[in-house]
Amino acid sequence: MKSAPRRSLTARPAGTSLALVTTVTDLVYHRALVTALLVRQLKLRYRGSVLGFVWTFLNPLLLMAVYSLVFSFYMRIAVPHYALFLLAGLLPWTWFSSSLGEGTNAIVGGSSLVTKSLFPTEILPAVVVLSNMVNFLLSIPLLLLAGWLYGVSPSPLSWVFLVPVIALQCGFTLGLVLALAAFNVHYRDVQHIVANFLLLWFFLTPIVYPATQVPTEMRALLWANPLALFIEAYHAVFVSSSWPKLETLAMLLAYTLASLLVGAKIFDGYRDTFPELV
Amino acid sequence: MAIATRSPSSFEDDPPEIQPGGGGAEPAAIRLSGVRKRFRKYTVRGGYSTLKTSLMNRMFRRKFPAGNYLDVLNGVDLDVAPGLTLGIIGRNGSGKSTLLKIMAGIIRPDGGAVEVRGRVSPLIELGAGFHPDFSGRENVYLNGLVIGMSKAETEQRFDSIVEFAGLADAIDDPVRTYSSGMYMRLGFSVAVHADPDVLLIDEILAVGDESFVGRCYERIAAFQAAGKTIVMVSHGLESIERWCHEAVWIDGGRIAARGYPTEVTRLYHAAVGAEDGPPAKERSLRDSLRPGRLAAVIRVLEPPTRTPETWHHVARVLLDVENVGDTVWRSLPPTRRGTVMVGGRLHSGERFLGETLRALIPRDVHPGERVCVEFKFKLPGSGRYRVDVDLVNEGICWFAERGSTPLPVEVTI
Repeated sequence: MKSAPRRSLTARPAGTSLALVTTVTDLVYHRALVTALLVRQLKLRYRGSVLGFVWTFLNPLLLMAVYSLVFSFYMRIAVPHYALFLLAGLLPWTWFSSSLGEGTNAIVGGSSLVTKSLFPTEILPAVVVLSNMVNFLLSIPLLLLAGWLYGVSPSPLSWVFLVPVIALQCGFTLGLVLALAAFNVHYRDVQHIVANFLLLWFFLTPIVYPATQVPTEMRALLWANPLALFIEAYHAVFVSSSWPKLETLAMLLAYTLASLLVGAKIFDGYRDTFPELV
Repeated sequence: MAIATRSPSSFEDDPPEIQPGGGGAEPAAIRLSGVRKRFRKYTVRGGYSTLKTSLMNRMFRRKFPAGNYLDVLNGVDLDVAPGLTLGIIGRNGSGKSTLLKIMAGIIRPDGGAVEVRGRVSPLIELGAGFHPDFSGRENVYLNGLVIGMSKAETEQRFDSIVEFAGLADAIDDPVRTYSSGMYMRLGFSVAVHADPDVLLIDEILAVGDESFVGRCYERIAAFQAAGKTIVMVSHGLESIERWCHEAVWIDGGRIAARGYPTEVTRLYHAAVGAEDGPPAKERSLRDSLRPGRLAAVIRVLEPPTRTPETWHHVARVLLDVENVGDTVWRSLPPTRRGTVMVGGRLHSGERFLGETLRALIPRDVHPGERVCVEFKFKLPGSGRYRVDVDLVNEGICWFAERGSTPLPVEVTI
């Protein structure tokens, strides 16, 4: 089946059997294109809108206002600095869920690029994850502002821990998005499944409620949920002004590697079929 | 005034010197061997498989029946010599565009091997990935990266890209305000500035205003002059005849014919336009092709000179062709059966570059008559060439196929 040698204008660096290595070298090799598409994606989000960049803040702020009202006043959940707590979970969740939502469609939606030109297609899902990451990074000042209002600010050491947490989330999301984008080319149901699944996932993740509310016998579920671990890490940094537990980071590393390895493998397996199907 | 005459005796003296197409010392720029491609057929109802149908198929071990596949290419072997301009013609759905996409590496074949030397620039669809909300400038940079230029290269060629597209005034406007012509001009301009070794063109010059098409061809001529390999797919048989050294007719996923562009387009025409009615039955030149019997004598009346056409290297030579056989040579449109033409095989040194355009004989020539034929042909660039002039009838190169040597004409341009 695959007797034809792969050669093209954008010849990839020396081939390797591990899909993940191929994906990473492709992305690094085409970093100029990744950057250009990333800039385009970001400009696109804000061009022509009156409030522009404010939208990045506005959506989580509105969510925060509603959840604060519902959970702090109506349901009287007892969490110190609840607004800050919410925001510290909502912002990384927004990064994750928007990446999944948009990224699943990255190959199908980028058909004009996929069918007519030559470049490694994993660039498209990667750009989605990266552009949402940039949005997240840009909204960190909002988090700091909220912390300042509550008199909580991350310690210098927690800043150091923030970097690997963000890097891990980026990798974890990318792996997932690669697999979903590839599946979505073959089975267009995937985008609907993802949209529904994300809502369930949101409520299974301790974002609007603290992890301590989860009954002890159900705690294992939290360990099985990578997003719960990510949010826990963000809470540690921004709300408790401490740092994530090392076992949390170790688990996250394991999840990220698994996600990337499997995601890149799946994507690579489907890669050749994209131009015919999108 | 160079005079060269072929007489019957020369058949024994001159061993055949004709090389098969693309048989030069240099390796082929594009080499396809046994390329096959099949697509799954998609109906509207089963537009794409859903998870459900896929699971059902797997559960019940259903395989897609054989009829659900469409064999687009059934073993295509094609060598394209470097510097050659090859035209691909064929009906809609005959696999031309698929072939081009396989050469470009966008689609991978199901079987066979593809080898392409050098940087490929596919002009499959111009302005791939242009975003309507972005300015021409922004799109040029992105499109440049998409088609494989580095950022520095794009920057360096930016002014030239804009100038060629003729969009200096509009380059900072959003692309959605562009007319389709402007859009296409910009896309073409970026693509040709990628400086490829192999240019693949899919039916793009059919649109665009006169002056831009002229400039596109100028650019293609420059590519030819620079010794780049070009493969173009077109329904415009005229442009194939005018621009290609050779043509290939694809039918039913196979190569139906390959050879001189005019000859191939004629065959194609004959096959497609069967409704033109059966051609008049006439004795063709072929009938007089008997061993040891000479049907034509060709002399050079006026040695090759460059024509005043500006955008590429066209040489013109005046030939005197005498009918010494016993059949009437019919002067018919090039697509009709039985017409007699003058053709040539172009060489640079010992390297075969391809077959050149034909020249029609201006009128019917009866046995014993002679006629003056103006023979124009393209050259890939300046230099010394040899054109082996031959008489062509129904795809037969008369001298060459008789085991004799066609009339060699030296050209320096």
